[in-house]
Amino acid sequence: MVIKGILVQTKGPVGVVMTPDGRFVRVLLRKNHRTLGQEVTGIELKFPSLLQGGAVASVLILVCIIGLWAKMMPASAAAYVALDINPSLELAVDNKGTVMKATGLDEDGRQLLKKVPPEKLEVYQAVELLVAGAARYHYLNDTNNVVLATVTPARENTTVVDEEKLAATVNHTVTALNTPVKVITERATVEEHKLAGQKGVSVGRYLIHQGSSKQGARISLDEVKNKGLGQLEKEKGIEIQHVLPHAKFKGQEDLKPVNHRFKQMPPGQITKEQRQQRLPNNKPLQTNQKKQDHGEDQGNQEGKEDKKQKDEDETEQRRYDRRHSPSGPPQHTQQIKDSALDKAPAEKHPSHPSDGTQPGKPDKGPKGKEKEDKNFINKENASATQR
Amino acid sequence: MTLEQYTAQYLDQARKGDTLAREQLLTEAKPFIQSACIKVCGRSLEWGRDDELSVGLMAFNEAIDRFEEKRNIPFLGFARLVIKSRLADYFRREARHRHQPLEYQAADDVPVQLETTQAWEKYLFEAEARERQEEVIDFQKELSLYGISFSELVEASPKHRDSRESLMAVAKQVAEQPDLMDHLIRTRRLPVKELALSSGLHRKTIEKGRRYIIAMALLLHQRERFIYLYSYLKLTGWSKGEEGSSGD
Repeated sequence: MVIKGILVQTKGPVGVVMTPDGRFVRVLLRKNHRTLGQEVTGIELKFPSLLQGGAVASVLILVCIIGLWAKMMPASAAAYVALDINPSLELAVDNKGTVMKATGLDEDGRQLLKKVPPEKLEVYQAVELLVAGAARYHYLNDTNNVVLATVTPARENTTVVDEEKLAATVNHTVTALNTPVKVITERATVEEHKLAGQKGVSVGRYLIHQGSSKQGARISLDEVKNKGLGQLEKEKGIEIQHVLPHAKFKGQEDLKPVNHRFKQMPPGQITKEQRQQRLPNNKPLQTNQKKQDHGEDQGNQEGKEDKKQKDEDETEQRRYDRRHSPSGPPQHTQQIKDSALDKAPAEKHPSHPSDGTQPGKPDKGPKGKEKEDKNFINKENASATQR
Repeated sequence: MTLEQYTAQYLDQARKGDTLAREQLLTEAKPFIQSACIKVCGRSLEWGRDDELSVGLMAFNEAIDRFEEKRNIPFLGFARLVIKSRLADYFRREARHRHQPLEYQAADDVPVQLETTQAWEKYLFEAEARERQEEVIDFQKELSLYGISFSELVEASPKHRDSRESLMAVAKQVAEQPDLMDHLIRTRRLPVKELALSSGLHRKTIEKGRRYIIAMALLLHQRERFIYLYSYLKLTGWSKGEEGSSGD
C-alpha cells in the first residue's frame, strides 16, 4: 500500500513518515525521495506486531517441540519378545522387526544386556546374539538349559515376530553349543504382558506361574522369579512346555543335558547324536563305547559300581514314567529290555576294542544288520509314542 | 484562537485589501514574529527597542502579499522564511554600512525590488527544504528528551482511526491545559491519572498510547516551532482553524 507523508526518519531504503491523519508509518522509500521533512510516497512495510510475532514464534516452537518429541520419544512397540534363560529380559520390537529397547528383568538380564546390547538389531539376530551371549557367559549351562521365548504382539492379529522363525533361530544357535538346550516358544496376550509387568516378572515366567497353578503343581511367584527354568523343571518335576498354555516345542529328549541324560531319558531311548552315529554304518553308541572303555580301565570293581548306577537310573526312569503316564503299564518296558539287550554284550565284553564294530555283538552279517535296524526303528517308534 | 485560526480567517481578506484584517493579523502575529526574530538573532528582543523586530514585522506584512497557496507551504512557514530572509539582508546591510559613508547607504533601501523572481524562488526552495529538515531533526531531539523515537511511534500510533482520534483528543487536552503541559515538561511523564479522569479513557489505554500522546502534545503545543509538521496534520483540521479553542 502506497503511503504519503512527511519523512521524519530514514534508514537506508526504509523510512518513517508522518501521515496527515497522524499515523507514523514505516515505508519503503524511492531513491530520489529521501530528504527529511519532505513529503514523500512509499510502500507501507507491515511488520508483524509483537503479539503476532509471539504467536507465530510460539507456534513454530510448538511445532519444533512436537517434532523433537516425536523424534526423541520411541515409537510404540509392535511386539515384545521376552527371553527367559536364567537371565530374564524383554525386547521391545517395532513394526519393522527391529529391537527398539531391551530391558533386563533381573540382575542377570541387565548384566547380559550390558555385555550384549541388542538394540537396533533385527529381533531374530538379537535373540541369536543374546542366546549365544548367555551361553558364552555361562548363564546357559547344564542346570539352566531351557530357553523360553515369549512373543507378545502389541496388537492382535499381527505377526511382527514369527514364533516359528524365532524358535528356529534359537535352535540354530543352541545346536552349536556343547550343552543341549530346550527351546520353547510361547505366545502371550497384551493383558498377560501387562499383568506380568505388574508382578515384576517376565511374561513367560508369569505364564509358567499361572499354568502351574491351574495344573495343581503350584509354583510361587518368588520361585518363578528367582529360579532358572531348568532348575524349576528339575525341582518341581515338571516340563515347562506342559505348563504353558500355547507352548511350541519340538523334541524333548534331544535337548536334555548330557550329564542328566540317564536321569531324564527313559532307558532304551537314544539321543540325536546316537542316532546319527548309528544310522549310517551301524556303529556302536559312543556313550556305551565310553563306558566299555571305562570298565576296561577300572576293572571289575568299577564295573559293579557302574551296574549299580545303571540300576538306580532304571529305577528313576520307571518313576519318571509313572509320573508321566500314571494309568496303564509303562510303555517303555520293551525299551528297557532292548536297552538292556543293547548293553548286555558290552558288559560281557568290556575289553572289546572300539574299532567301529558294535561292542559286545558279533558280526551278524547283512541279515543281522537288518534285524538290528528293525529293532532300532521299533525303539524309535516307542520313544516317539512316549514323547 | 490560535494564530493559524486567525491566519485562516483574515489572510484572504488582508490579501484582498482589507486593512483592518491586515492590522488584526499583524497584531496577532507579533508573538510569532518576535519568536522568529529571536531565533534568527540569537538574543532577546523587545518591541520598540530593537530594529530587528520592526524588520520582522515588515517581512510578515510582505509575506501576506507574496503568499501563494499553490506553493504547498503553510503561511506561517512562509512568513518565517521571509522574516529570516529580510533579517539576513538587514544584517548584511548593517555590516557593510558600518564602515561606509551615509550617501552610499541610500542605494540599499530597495532590496526587495531589486531581487529577481528567479533568485527568490531558488532561495525559497532551498530555505524551505532546509527548514523542513531542521524542523524534523528538532522534533526528533525534542522527542528523545522523553525517551521516544520515531520507530517507537510507528509501533505506538494506533492503526484504527477511532483509537487515534481518542489519543489525539487526549494530546490536545494536554497541549491546551498549561498545568498538564507543565507537568509533562517538568516530569517528562504524562499525568495518566488526571487524563484518565478527564478524558474518560481507561488508564491502560492512556498508558498504552503514552508515547503517541506525548509526541502529539508536544507537536500541538509547540506548533510555531514545528510549523511544517503541525500544518501537515489534517486529521482534525486544527491547522485550518476549524475547531478547538486557543491555548495561547
